[in-house]
Amino acid sequence: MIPSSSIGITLEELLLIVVIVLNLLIGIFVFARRPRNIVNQSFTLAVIGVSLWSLGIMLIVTNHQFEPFNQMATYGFFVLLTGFLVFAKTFPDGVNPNKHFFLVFIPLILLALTIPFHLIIQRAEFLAGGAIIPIQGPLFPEFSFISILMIVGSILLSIRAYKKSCGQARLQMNYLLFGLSVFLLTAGIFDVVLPAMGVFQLSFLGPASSIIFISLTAYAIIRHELLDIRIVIQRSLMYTIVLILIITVYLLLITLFGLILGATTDASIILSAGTTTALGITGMPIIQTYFQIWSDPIFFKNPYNYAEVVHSLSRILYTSLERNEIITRTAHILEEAFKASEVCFLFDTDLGTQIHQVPRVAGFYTAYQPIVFEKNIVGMLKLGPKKSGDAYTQKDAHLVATFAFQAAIALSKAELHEKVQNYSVHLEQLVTQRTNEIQKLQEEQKEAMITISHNLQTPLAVIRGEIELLSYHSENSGQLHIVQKSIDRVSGFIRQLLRVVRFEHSLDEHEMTAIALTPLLREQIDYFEVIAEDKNIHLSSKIEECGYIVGNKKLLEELITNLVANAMHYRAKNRTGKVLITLADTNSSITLTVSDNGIGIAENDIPHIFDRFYRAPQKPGSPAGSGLGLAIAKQIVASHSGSINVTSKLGEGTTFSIQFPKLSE
Amino acid sequence: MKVLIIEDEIEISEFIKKGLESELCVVTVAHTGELGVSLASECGFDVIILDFHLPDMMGSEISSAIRKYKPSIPILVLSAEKNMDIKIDMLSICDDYVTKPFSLRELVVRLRALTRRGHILYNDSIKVGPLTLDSRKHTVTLNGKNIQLRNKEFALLEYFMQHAEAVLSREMILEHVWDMNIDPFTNTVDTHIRLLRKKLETRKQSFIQTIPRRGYRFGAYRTI
Repeated sequence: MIPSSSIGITLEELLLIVVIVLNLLIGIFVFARRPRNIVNQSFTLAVIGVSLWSLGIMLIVTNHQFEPFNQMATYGFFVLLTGFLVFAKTFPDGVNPNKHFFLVFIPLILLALTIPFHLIIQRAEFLAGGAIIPIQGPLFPEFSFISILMIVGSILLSIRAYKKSCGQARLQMNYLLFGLSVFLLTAGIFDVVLPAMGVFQLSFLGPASSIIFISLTAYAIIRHELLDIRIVIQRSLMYTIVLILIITVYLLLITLFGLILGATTDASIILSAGTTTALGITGMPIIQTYFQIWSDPIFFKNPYNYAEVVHSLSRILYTSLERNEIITRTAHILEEAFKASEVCFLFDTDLGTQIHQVPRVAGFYTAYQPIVFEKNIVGMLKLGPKKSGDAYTQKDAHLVATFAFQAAIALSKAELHEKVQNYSVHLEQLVTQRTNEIQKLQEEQKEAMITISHNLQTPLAVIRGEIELLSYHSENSGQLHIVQKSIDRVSGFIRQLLRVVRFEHSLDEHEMTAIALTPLLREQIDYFEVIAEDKNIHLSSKIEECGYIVGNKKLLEELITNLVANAMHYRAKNRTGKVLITLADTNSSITLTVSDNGIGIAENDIPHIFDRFYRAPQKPGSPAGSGLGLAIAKQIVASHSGSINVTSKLGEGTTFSIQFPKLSE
Repeated sequence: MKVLIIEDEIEISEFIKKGLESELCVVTVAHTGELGVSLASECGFDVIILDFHLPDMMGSEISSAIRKYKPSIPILVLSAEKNMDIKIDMLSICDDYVTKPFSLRELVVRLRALTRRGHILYNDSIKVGPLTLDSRKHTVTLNGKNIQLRNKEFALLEYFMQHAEAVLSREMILEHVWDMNIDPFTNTVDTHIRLLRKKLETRKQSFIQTIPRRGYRFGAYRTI
């Protein structure tokens, strides 16, 4: 036996007390979580039973006194069995068992309470070695029988519950089974096998091992979500090893200091304790890390790095815009991580009757995780059985749930993206269609113009031709000549009209090049001067050197001629006609003006002069124009991206001003 | 001059035929493009008059077909609207064009010009009497002395000299020199001719003859 210290409690006693206290604390904690649930209630009852039983045994051992502690122990044991039976019946559903169940119980409990204890165990004999041998009483076999019955009943109920369970519940049952196994094993070894061999010293370890069972069961009930049973075992093992190491170190240090300082004194104890604490604090993390590295491959078959898997999944979900890509790549990663036989996504019609909003992952061998976006199920992730044969763990469930959240968004995004693409493809198609329609329309209009022109001009040509022939041999050639001139006028009008219409619909193709306005204008003025001289009009010009504009030479010549002809035509009778042409280069445009001192335009006529067929009052005797000249002028200006303005005062003169955008170098 | 008219409208082909025959031309008429092409390729004509809009073939097609057999024969096209029919490539298939309605006289002048083309139009310098015009150098010399002319005066003189001895109407002159159908100033041609006369003519030597109601004729005329 380990020498007791001056404190007066043996190590075994200390250990047992600690276990009892811990068990009670766990029991209270579990009860406090859900006081109304029968599972929690029965568990707490069992815990109390265990505590009483352990306490009883401890007191018997320490005080070497059988009575009254044996009662405590026995009753405790019985309470434990009762609690456990109810627990086995109700875990994990928490449904109250029916009355029939309790009808079996109550007589038994009454029986237990009333039978005097000494009929079960008469007394105990305390041996010299400190062992205790219980001497069985006459009712011991019955007692054993009932106990065994209850134990077997509990076990059967547990087995049934286990078979029925799945998912989360099954995981929890695994914990219980493990805990129970350990407990029974240790209890069996230390309290049955070894005593049978004559070793009684370690019998206290039996009740002590109950802590394992109790804590695992509590854990199962409370359902700590993050840890898997394997992690629990791993951690427990680690901490146990750490504890053993600390104790060993402490004892070694005590021995050491004892040797150094002579005898076991308070000083040596304090020193050892202090040193141990210091070593423990510093050494603990290191021990932890190394233990984890060493034990991980043992406990976890095919471990995967949670963070890394989440990271690679997130990356795909974030960057990919295509549904198929998302699905294939993430499924591949999950398959690799879990070492699953298959991972696939189910959508719409595939879902069929499997539509569940609740994920079924943890504890299942084939897992299903719904992917929900804004309360609608977008799809389902199916994880086939793992190649290792294990069920999916809590950790796996968490990973998959996290993934499902992100996948929901990513898939919706991909769907939207596809929709947008389809829309823009569709839009492009529509635009192409419309463009083709417009082009076709323009072609048709062109054809129509040609036909109109042809049908009008051809008969006129015939008339003119025949009249010309007549005039060769006729005395009325003068009259015929007038007829010819009229025909020419009609023909000219038709030409101009069709031209205006074609211009309007942009049916003519005018070649646009870079035009230098200055030389063009100068050449035209050369021509105008001849006319002006003949008509006694004073033509002056102020031409600056200007840059280039984008335009068509013929059209520009026509435009300028048009305006100058107007200026010369509408001159005042009572004074010498003056026409001024200017060309100036301003910052972004080139300005061309044609001004005269003619009859001017009335104020209310000004807004209309560019209209087709608008004619201001005519000079008597002058040939009637078509009224299209200024309309054509305006069209030409517009086709050059320019603007035309007119200012005029009736009786004084008119100025036309045109602005062309400059061609930048 | 042997002329082939490819025209489907009988009235037009009739009056052209009459008009040309009065000018001592030998005229053949084909009413379809196909017939026209076969006639043109088999027989020898001096010039072809082609209507641009024929029902069976497009003017451009007919022209290219004819060119395959007779690459150098001059083709004059009748069209209703210059701006609409004449595209850039059209000018490569016909040598000249006339828009409807047209003057027969003008037509004849153009035909003659087309047949004479070889030695007049493409010469660098044209000589009529004491007057020499160099198209490339843009100079005019009269009796060896240089004459200064405005742009349009030069163009007008060039046109006259290219069609010397032909009667050219104002419309023809306007169309060729100014590229206009209608005179915006009503006296464009007259004023320019007057100026030319002032610069070129003397009491003894005149060049431009006025033909009343018909137009003008250019030549070297000495007055004695």
